[in-house]
Amino acid sequence: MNTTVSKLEGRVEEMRRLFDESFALALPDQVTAPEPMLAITLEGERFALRMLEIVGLALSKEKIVPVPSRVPELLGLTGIRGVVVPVFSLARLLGFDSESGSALWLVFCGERQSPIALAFAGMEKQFEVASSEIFTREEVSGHRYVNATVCEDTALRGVISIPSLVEYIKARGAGKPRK
Amino acid sequence: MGQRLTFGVKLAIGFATTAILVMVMAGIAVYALNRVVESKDHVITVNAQNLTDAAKLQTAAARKAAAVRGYVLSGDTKFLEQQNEARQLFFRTLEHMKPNVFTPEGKAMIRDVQEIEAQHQVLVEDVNVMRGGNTPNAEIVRYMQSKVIPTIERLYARVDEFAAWEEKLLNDGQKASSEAAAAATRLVLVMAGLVVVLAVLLAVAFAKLLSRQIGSAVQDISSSSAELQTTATQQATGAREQATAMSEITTTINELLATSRQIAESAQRVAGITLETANAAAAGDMTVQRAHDSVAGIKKQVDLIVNHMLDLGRKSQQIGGIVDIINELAEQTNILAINATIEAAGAGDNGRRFAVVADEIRKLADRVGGSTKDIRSLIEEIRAAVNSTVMATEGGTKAVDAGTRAFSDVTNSLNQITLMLGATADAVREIELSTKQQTTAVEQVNGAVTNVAQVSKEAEASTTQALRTASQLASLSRDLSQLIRSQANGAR
Repeated sequence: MNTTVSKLEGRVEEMRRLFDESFALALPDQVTAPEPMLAITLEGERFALRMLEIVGLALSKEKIVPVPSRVPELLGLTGIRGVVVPVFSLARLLGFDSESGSALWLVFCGERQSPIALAFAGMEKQFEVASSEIFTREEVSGHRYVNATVCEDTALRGVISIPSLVEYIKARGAGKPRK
Repeated sequence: MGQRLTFGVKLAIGFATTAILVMVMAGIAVYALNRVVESKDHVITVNAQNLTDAAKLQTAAARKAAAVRGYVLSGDTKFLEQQNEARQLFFRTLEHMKPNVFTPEGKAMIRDVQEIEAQHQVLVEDVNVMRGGNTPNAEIVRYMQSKVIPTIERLYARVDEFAAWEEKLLNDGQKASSEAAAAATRLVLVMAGLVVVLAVLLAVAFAKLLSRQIGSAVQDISSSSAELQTTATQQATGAREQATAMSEITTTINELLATSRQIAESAQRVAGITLETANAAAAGDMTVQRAHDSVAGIKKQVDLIVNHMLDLGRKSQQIGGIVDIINELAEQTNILAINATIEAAGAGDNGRRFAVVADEIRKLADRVGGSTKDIRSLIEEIRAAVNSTVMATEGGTKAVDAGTRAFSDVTNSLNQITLMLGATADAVREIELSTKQQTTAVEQVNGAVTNVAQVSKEAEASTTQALRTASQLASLSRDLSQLIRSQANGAR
């Protein structure tokens, strides 16, 4: 227990130091500014989302109401900040046959006034990577709408193209929001 | 069955058998003698009488012939009377003979004699008539010579034949009688020999039987006397050993007497030690009572520690709940920071500064989340330590309880020891009293054993006398056995 206490005290000291450094260091340059990314997992595979392509993140505490639809990826509808939002399974959109576990996390994309929610289960962390470290590919690992790869902590992740997904959903006609 | 009969009965049977044999032999001898006497009587009464009668017949015939000649010569009538008398004698003799003639030859001869005499009588009457008349003598002589004399000679001859026949029968009867007498003599001799042989056989058999039985009895007496001798010897040895043992017992009893006195003294000392031990046990009881009170105080302190530890566990659980709230706040802060980052990115250059702040907030939330994990781990360790402490304390409580019970047991044991020491003191006093009584009893036993020793010596003397008597009995049985053996050899 003494080891845990000393470890905890060291962490408090580090947090205090980093907090002070955040005020002491200068702002980073725009050219060299890294791109913020979200690290997620879908059915055991590692993926990444560009935070510039999404408009929000939330826990799906609100109940997702299932609705009958011809689109199998549509899980249902939920409410966020007074707007009814359609919720799609990100794993099914990427071509996974089945989805284990219940989706807890929702990322909002598309227009801010009528967003589309993409649900997934495995939220890992936020990380930053230089734009030069993102390598564009036509198709990665045989999944749809994954057009780039990024290396994060020696782990290779497929970067999901949110605009392509939004375009696909709108093309299916299931993404029109209703007030 | 012969083994069951007494000697008197067997001897009576032997004498009775001999008497029966003698009686049988006497009966046979009487029978043979009767046969001989009967044969002799037959010879005397029948054959001899017939022979005598034949002589009488001859005499009567001769007297008749002489009377005939006298009458012829003299003419005197007295010769006629003599003729009649001779003829009556002839016929009486003949009638007397008939019942005694049994053979056909004899009967035929009697008939011939009777017929010839009848023919002679006719001729005699003719001669008498001729003599009484005037018949010349010469004619009478011729008639006599031609008829009467041949007839009378024929009568004589036939009577002689009959006499010879009867004499032959007499000789045959005498011979048969002699043979019967000889046969009876032989039978009597044979029977006498048989009786003698049977008597000898019976005597030998009885002698053997009696010798065997008496020999067996003498053998039994001999073996019994030998066993009696052995037993007497053993008893004599045992009596000597018993006398020795009684002497040793007397010595041992004397030692036992001394030991009993020592036990009585030791019992007195034990009584004193028991009293001291009872006092020590009472002091130990007080010490144990104080220790018991101390243990009860320890038990209260341990119970207080347990309550504090349980309170500490509950507090740790509450801290865990607070940490969960902090963790949730950190997570929500992280989500807000991410959303702030997104908003800042959407604001372009204007949002860069805000993006930096949001990133710092996110990092801070991440670190808070990590810290809450460490705190949760620490709390889990505290709870585990508390549980271990509570369990150890409960173990200590149980040990204290066991110690309390052990002290109670020790107290009870000391009380029991005190009671038992009292009982021991009583028992020691009883032992002392019993030992004194035992000493008295041992003294009495010593006197009794002395008497028994004296009796053992007397028994030894009696056994020696019995041994001597058994030896004499064995010698007597040997003499009797030799006597029977010599008799048996003599009989053999």
